[in-house]
Amino acid sequence: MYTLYDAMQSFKPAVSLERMISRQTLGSIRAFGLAGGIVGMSAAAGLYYFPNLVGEYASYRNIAAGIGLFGIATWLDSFLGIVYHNNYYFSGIRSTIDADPYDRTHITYDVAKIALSDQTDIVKAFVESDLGRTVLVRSECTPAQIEEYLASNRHPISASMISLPPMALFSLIGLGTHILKHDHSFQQFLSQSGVTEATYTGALRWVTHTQHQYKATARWWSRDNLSQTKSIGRTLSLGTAYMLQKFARDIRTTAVFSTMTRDRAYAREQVEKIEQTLARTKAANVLLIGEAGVGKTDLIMEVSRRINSGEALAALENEQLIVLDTNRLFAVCADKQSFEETIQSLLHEALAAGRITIVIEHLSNVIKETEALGVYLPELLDEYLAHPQLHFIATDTPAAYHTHLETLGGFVRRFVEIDIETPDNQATVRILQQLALQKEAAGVGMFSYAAVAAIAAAADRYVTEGVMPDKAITLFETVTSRARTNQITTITADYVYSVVGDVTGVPTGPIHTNEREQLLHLEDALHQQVVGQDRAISAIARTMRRARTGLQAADKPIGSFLFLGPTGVGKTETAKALANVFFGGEHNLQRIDMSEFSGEGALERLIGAHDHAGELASRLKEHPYCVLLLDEFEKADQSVHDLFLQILDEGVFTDGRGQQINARNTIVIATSNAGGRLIIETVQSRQTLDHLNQGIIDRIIADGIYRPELINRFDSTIIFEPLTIEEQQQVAQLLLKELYVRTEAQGYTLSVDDDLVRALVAKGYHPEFGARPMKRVIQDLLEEKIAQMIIAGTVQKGDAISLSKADFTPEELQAT
Amino acid sequence: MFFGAIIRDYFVWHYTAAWWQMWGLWRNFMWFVIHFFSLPQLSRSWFAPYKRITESRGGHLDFESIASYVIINLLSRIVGGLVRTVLIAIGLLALVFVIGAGFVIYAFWMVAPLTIIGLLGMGLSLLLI
Repeated sequence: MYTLYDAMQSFKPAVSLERMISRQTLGSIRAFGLAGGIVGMSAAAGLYYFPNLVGEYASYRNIAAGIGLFGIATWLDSFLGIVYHNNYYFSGIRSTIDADPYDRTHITYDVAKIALSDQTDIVKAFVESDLGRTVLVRSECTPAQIEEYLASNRHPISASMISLPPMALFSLIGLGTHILKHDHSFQQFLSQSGVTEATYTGALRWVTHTQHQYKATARWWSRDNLSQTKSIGRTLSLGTAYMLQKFARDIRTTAVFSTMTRDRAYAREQVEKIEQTLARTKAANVLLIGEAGVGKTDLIMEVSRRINSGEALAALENEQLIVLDTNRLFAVCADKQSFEETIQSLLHEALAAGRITIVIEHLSNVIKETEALGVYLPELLDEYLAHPQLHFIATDTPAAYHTHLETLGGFVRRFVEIDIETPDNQATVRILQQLALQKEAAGVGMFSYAAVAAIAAAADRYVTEGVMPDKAITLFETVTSRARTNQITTITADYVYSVVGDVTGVPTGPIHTNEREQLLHLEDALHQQVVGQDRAISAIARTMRRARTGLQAADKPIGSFLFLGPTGVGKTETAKALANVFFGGEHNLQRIDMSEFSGEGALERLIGAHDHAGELASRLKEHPYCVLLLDEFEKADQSVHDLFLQILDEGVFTDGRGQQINARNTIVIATSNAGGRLIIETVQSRQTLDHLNQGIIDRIIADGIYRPELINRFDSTIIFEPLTIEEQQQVAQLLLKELYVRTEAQGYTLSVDDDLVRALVAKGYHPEFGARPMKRVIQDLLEEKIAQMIIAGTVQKGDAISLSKADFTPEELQAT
Repeated sequence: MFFGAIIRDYFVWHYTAAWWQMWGLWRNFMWFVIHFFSLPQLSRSWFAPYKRITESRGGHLDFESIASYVIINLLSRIVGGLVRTVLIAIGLLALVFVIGAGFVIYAFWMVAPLTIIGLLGMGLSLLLI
């Protein structure tokens, strides 16, 4: 068994050397030695050759020469020392294009350095090392927690207990993972510090990757780094397209984020597809289709970089990628004739120059703009698109592609379409890690891995506009600028979620005391607005608590409910209460009367078409965080129901313009009076609704009001019961409270005695119509009476208005 | 003890693995010079027209157009050939320099530890004289 102990032995001298004298000090000695050598030898030469000029100082030439020789010896010594140390220091950091065949080390220098610092207790050595400490800090462990762990009673793991995997390099990732798997106390320490395994391994990978990247950049003599220099012979062996150069733009000016190319794993597959297409002999043109911000230009940059460094396919050697600056082209060529002449000569020249790929961004926009000049660009380009010596890379969004380019038929067939998918969460995290390092270098606090992962997750979940990774980068910038303003030194996942909560209004991240109380007593909060309906309120509260803990799938709306029940029993009021509790106010309740979306064209009115926006699409774009109340849902057209099958299942839909609309940050509530009669009959026949819930749903399905698959898509179907007389009394009190406030606002103090309230309740109680008749009774009797008193002048501002049963005739109070 | 181990390991490395590593480095620099001057591309297109500037013959068979076609294309090729020759020559010189420097460095490498001792000895004697 080959162990870490065996492997680290060969590193002993190099690590000892670094302990005695650091690389930085060695570098400084080398610089001083060189300076001393040059100064000493120059002085000695001056004193030797110009003795008359220096006079009596000429005798110092031997001392100057001695210092010079000492300096050179010091320089040479430290130089050899650094080169010797490099041999170990860079072991395992292989270049991507010139793997060192003589590198036979099993472990990296960093692992050896850690192991050699305490070979009897590797975990302690890891935790106390700079890199290990960084891993733990990036995992959100506090220094106090780390110290406490080190002081605890542990079973140490020695270097000889760690067997190395055969034929694989054992890097810091290997060491950190081994410790996690085999040290129970370390696992406990992490879990007690609130660090998950995913966070720890993520931080471990981040720190290791950063260290390897630093070393790879420091090796300036590697072929990777040498290849970054642009060749000077290329322009002489090939031609130059002067006209094209005039209308060319630096590709870097439109790249969304230059860091994507660093994430080679994500970019590799897409870049290979582009390269393979460009290397074809026929139809070697590429059309990159992807949402704005997905990184199309960055991929083209990566292709360009690979061609320059010689990593690209051999067939693309010396290919030059030039971005056409269409803005300048349109500015210079204002009419049809000049545009056609310019573009023809430009393309002709590019063809003659050879090995040129022209990049046209937003192809459909360019075509549209040329149409305004009376030019049909596809026809102009056609001849050149077919030419094997000239290549094109065009970019466009999926929506523009479907609307404009797809209709052009033959023209599009000249291109090989490559769909640029949104990078997965891991790739986004890696992109953000690079940005975080840049920000840290610029003096913004330190990012934990969990914070970076939280930005990626929150952007995906809560930011509705844009695509990944662009929206994650935007959120990253928001978090960074807030951290800078609030002078936050360590940016944690909690901080990220607090910023997201502020920005979106949706409670996210860990649940704090206030919110915990609110969630635990959600029923009470809802009951402040809704009378009765205990079963319904409890079902809603349960679902919402589940949603808040993150147990619910992230690719669905926050919650979705179908409220069934007779009119006026509190369905809408419950939706308002949810908007209040979850989104901070009733202004975040978006109500759509679904009876307006029946019949032909209903779906188009709801989702829009290419020339106009739809009701639902606009509401969700303007209010992505809301309670979406769909009143009288059963009256909507079948096609609308089908749309909601998708929304409830995936949380997104595509509007009439081809844009994806996100409904994942909404609570969807569909209300319906369907089954209302049955519910009332059930209650009147003194049966409990508990046993009849399913019966009512079955009846609704049997009557063809809703299809079973639609009902199943809702998180919960909630039956609202008719109000009892006691509940009606509470409703009356709530309504009176509102009336008191309104009267007070007019300058009067209103009081209504209990007898009158009872009489009003008796008059307004109609189980089949719920609370609405009660509202009407208060309006018709009380409000009318007060209005009469004010108009007649029997009460003045500041007076108290007391109403009792005696103020009304028996006919007025008679139940109807 | 550590110091002795470092010195021993250094010498083992200096006279074994370092030779192979230097060979890798040498190859990298030779590759760099060839890549930087685009020597294969320049050789392949040695007498091609300068920056592919050419004159097309045109449809008419008149003396003027033929003369202009021949002269311009000939001139373009001559200029292209000259410029490329100069660049190839500089590139080859650089390559020869890198190759030569490699041999010199190898030779120096063999005696480098002795050189340090020599320089220190000479320096010391000069300071003490």
